[in-house]
Amino acid sequence: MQFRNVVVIATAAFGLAITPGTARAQDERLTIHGSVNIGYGKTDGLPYFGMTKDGTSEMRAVALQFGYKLGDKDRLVTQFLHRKFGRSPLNAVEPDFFPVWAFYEHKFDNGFGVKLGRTPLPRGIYNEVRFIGTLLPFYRTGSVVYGETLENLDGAVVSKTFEAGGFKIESHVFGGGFDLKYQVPSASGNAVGNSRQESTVGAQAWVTTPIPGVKLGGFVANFASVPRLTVPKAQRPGRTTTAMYSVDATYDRGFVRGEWTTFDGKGPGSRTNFDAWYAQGGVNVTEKILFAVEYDFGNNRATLPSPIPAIDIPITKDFGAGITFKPTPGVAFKFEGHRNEGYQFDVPVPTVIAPTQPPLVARLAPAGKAFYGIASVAVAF
Amino acid sequence: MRKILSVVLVAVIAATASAVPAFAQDFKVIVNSANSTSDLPAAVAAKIFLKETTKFPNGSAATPVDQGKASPVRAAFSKSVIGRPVSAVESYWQQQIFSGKEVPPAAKSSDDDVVAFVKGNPGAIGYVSAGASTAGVKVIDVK
Repeated sequence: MQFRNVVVIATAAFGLAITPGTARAQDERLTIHGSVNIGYGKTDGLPYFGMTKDGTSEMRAVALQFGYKLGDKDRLVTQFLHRKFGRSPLNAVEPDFFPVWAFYEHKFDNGFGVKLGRTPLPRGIYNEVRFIGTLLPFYRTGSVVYGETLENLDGAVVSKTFEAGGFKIESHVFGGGFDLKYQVPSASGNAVGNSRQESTVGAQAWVTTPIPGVKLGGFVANFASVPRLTVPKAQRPGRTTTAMYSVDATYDRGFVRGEWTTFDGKGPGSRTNFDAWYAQGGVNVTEKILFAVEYDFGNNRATLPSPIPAIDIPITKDFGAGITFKPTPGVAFKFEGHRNEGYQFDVPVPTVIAPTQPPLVARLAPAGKAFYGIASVAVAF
Repeated sequence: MRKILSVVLVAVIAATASAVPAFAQDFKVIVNSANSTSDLPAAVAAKIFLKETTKFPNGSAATPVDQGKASPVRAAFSKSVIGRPVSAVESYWQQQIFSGKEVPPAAKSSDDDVVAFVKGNPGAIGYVSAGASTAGVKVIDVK
């Protein structure tokens, strides 16, 4: 999709967002909603998440959602996405325009609901709304915690909400497969790929506590990379378990949120042991102005050739502060600045200094650093 | 001086006292005339309009209908019954829509359209301004 087309979509979406009632001017069975999140980003040195020293305006996520109500308990929903990660190598594995959701939903009389197809994956606070700028305090969710994976699920999600003793429990169990988009540093530059994960089983629960505004979440999933069963046992990748724990306290005057995620997998000759967390706080200075801060941290425990012991690589330490102006709930203007220090950039940076003599203990190379800023506009209708 | 203060105090109390019922009477909640519901706790009405429940307390299906975002009657209903301003409710719906959970109730552009919708749908529940004609539908008490 050409940038000009995106501008046309963005302009149309903005018009719809600021015109009262137009979003509902449609058949009551058919609903159409959309979101545009466009940014300009620039770093002061190392390229990071598509942003370069020259600056890039190729940062956008445009989502268009269609829903059709088949009856009181049944509906079809599809959401298409066009996304650009600036000048990031990840663009090579991102289609120009594709369905992030395409599911059928049925709600049972006993309160259970089931979604079948390509469905939103309930995972933490932001996973399902990660493309919707008007719902995010920054241009995007913390990449080190959410990454470009587990964005949706090809399979089934069964949901049920319970209420007991002042607590509300929203529960989801799911099974299916998903894509994992990644970039790995190599001598010739960062290599990117899209690895398919299958046989996923997992659950997400949200507990709304009797303390006003406070809810707690827990997510767990177990999955395997494919191809798996068709490869010899000795080379077969192991299954990976990931978890995410969330705390969200949201009030009229502001919010405090934090999430911690882990990935743990083991196979012949490979080991994944990664964890990351962020803490985020925001104050509504006025009804239309939000000031927010965030700190992201990611750690990768790298396995090294025996007998050198594994080493912890703090791949990202990102501190950001930003201000959002929302003239209406459907429009947001954001300005943010970040300082990122670590080893995860769009070009390879030295991570580990191998030992050349006893004791055989690896050391960390000096971390890379970059300041970056993003100005963005988000519209939803 | 004391007299002046007393007069001001009485005037403030009178103004406040008269403001409360006036706000409470800015809208009327209506259901289909075949609906046996005659009163509804505000908390239940809020759950129906936020689609957290799909049924009236009597077990029949509930279909809420809203008014436009800029409508003064919606502002009054939202603050009084849902307990949040329209902008907060709009943010709630964005969250619901874009997490694939629910879409907001249908929104009508006038009292007459809401009355017509409620008249034509047995499970419908809506709100109209205090002075609107409610012939053919049932006004219920929400508190």
